[in-house]
Amino acid sequence: MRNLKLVLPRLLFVALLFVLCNFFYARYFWPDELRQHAPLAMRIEAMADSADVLYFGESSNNSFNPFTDTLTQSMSEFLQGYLPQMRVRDITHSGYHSGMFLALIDLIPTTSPLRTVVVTMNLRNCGPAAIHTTLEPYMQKQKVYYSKRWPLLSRLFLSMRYYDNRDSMERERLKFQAWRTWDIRYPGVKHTYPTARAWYDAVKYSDEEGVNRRKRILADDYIKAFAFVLDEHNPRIADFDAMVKLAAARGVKLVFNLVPENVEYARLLLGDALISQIKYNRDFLVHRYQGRGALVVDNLELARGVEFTDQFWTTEHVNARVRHACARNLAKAISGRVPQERSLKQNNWPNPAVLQPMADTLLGVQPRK
Amino acid sequence: MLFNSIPFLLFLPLVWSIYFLLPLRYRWVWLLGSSYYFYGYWKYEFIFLMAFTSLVDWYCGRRIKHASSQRQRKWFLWFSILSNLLILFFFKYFNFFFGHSELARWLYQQDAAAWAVELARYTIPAGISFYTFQSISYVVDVYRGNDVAERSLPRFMLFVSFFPQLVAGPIERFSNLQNQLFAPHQVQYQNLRYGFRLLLYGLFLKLCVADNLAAVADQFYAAHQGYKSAAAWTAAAAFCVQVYADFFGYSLMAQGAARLFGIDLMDNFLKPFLGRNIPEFWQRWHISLSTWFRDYLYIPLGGSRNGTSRMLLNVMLVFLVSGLWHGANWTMILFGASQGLFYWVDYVCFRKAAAATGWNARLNRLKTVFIFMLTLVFFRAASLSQSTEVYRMLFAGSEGTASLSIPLMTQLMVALFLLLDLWFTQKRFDLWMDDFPWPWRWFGYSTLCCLIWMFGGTVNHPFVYFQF
Repeated sequence: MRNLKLVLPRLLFVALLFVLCNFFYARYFWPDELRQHAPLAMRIEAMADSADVLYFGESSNNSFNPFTDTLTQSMSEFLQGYLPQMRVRDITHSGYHSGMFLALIDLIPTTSPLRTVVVTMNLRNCGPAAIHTTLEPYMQKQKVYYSKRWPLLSRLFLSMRYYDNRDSMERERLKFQAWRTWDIRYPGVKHTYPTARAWYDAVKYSDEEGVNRRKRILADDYIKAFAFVLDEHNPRIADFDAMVKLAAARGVKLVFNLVPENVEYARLLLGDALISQIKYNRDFLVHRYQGRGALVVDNLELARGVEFTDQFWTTEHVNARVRHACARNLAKAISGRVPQERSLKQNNWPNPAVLQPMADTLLGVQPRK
Repeated sequence: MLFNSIPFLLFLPLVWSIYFLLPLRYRWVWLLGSSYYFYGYWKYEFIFLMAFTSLVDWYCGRRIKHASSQRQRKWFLWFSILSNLLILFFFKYFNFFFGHSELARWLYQQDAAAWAVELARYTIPAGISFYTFQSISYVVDVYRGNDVAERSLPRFMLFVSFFPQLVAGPIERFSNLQNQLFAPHQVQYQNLRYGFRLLLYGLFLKLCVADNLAAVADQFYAAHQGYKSAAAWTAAAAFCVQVYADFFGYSLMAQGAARLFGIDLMDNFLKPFLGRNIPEFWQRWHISLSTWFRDYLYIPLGGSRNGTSRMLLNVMLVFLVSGLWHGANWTMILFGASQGLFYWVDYVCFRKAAAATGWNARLNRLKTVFIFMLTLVFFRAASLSQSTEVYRMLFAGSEGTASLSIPLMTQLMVALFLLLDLWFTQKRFDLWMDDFPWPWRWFGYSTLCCLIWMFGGTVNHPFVYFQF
């Protein structure tokens, strides 16, 4: 009891000091901190106040290669073109996934006039390769900045690493563990391989240097990126679910933009087995969210292999033709009517005379006429 | 679980409260359970590894005690040492030596072994080097007759796993902890006071000094080619203070956490930057490891009993092993070798420096810290080629144009730490605070709290020594 009498006033003093510090910190230091480490947190309020449609995008929103993609407008800018009567704004950050978008959507003030939120739905992001990416600690750290708690508490959480801060080696291990243990079989299809690892071990390309080796590396990459089965236990699905609930609570229309994947190369490299796996996951997403508080705009198969900027690894970076087409589909879902086709001011179609290294040489695609 | 984490802020008061609420005979059991939870919180698989190590060493200790012949005693001693080293080797060095071998590939193809290869390739069980050494010291001491073999396995498991010193030391001896762990401690305000002081100051060192400097060093080492030569010097100095504040801070927190339970752990640092030559520096730096190597490697190798040249060879061997202990990397081996080399130089040329006073002593201290700072480039560099390039930048200039600056607030906190460490405090922080009246003490606590809350670094780093 005597010890308690000694300790209690001291604890109270510390608590009071914390409250005072928080006041001081929130006023003089936190805004700078946000500006430096999480500028989107500063922007989102202003954006939401001045927008009818807010587009949450990752790198797929943008143009990447100025040599093959001469029109540099983003998907959200094309969307604005299709919805002139609405104010479309975008919050874009490379590598962001549903968990990050959820945290950002939660920051939208309840008084905002915002009517529609478009969220990028990236199928590859739901797989183990993306879930355990080494970028994750950086994003989880940013997520702490996107919370609504006391600034000093957030600051303490950051310095105490109170977020998923598993290091790159551990993430690498988790990735390999997932490829080794996640069951990739799904109902309705007789599947040869139980796991991604069994599949990429069985890929029959030669290990020798040259074209076959490059094919093997790419085939590995596609298996690792897409050979998984989506279910309700997937962390991305949990985030999408929470997003649907949040949008419903806020009275905001939620549109998921299922961005294109390179299904053409997936088929060329691994045949229909991987395609049906991708389609199974696509159907899972569409059936789970379509009409249940959200709209899913399925752009998954909108692009041809040659229209992807990155030919030697899997991304969703597409050229302006595809971004434009995705925007049109989105506009249709948002406005509820078929928008008039707006032609691109500049011919951004791939030049048939230019041979893309991947499609035309490695995989033996015939030049298009 | 790390000391600088929110779960630990909840774990510690909870464990402490229940510990003192329980009847005396159950307390150590609670401490054992809590220590295993503490360790398993990070990765539960590894608690089995620690339990296995404890089991083997406890069993060997018992067998050594009851062995009928010297040969049998020796056999169990070596069985224990080799099994410990084998485990250490598999988890810490397998990847270094065999990571890309056919053996690793073959093992990975076997379903039963694949998970272990993944673990060995990507994960080092936290603190494995610390608790393995602690456990080995027990068996050797039993063999030498310095310690009594513990009869109870769970009690021995508590000695190996006692959570404050589990993941980064100090590497304690059984004789020091044995009685303390099972003594009938009472709640004493004095213990709370000293414990919290150590925890607070340790947290300040880790979060405000080490983590803020880590951001500077990391920035440089992430892309060193683009930086000026001056930036290389800044990064080298920043890392030197970072590694000290980081490990010293951790050790203080370990001592503070143990003190709350009435248990005194040994001091791991004794103002190493006041060392006047490399031999003296190592008597003040990571004392529990230095003394471990002295007692269990240097002396068995012959120590200084067989002449100077043999002594110097033994020193070099100890430093090489110490380098390997720090990490499975050529840079770490070179770090150890460089320490051994400078030990030789100081022993042969500057032996009298240890007795120097006044300005002579100050210059020698500066020289010693400077040498240590330079050798730490091996410690920090990601590869041998990076360390070579950084040395080239330090001494032959650089074509890079980027500069590196340490934020003002960090500079102030580093200055505060160095002043306290080198100038003001003649005693350990918790005892030094007793010299002040309570308003000054509380001003000090409040300042440390505010600095920790508002200016703790946010780099995503565990403790530097956590990986060892």
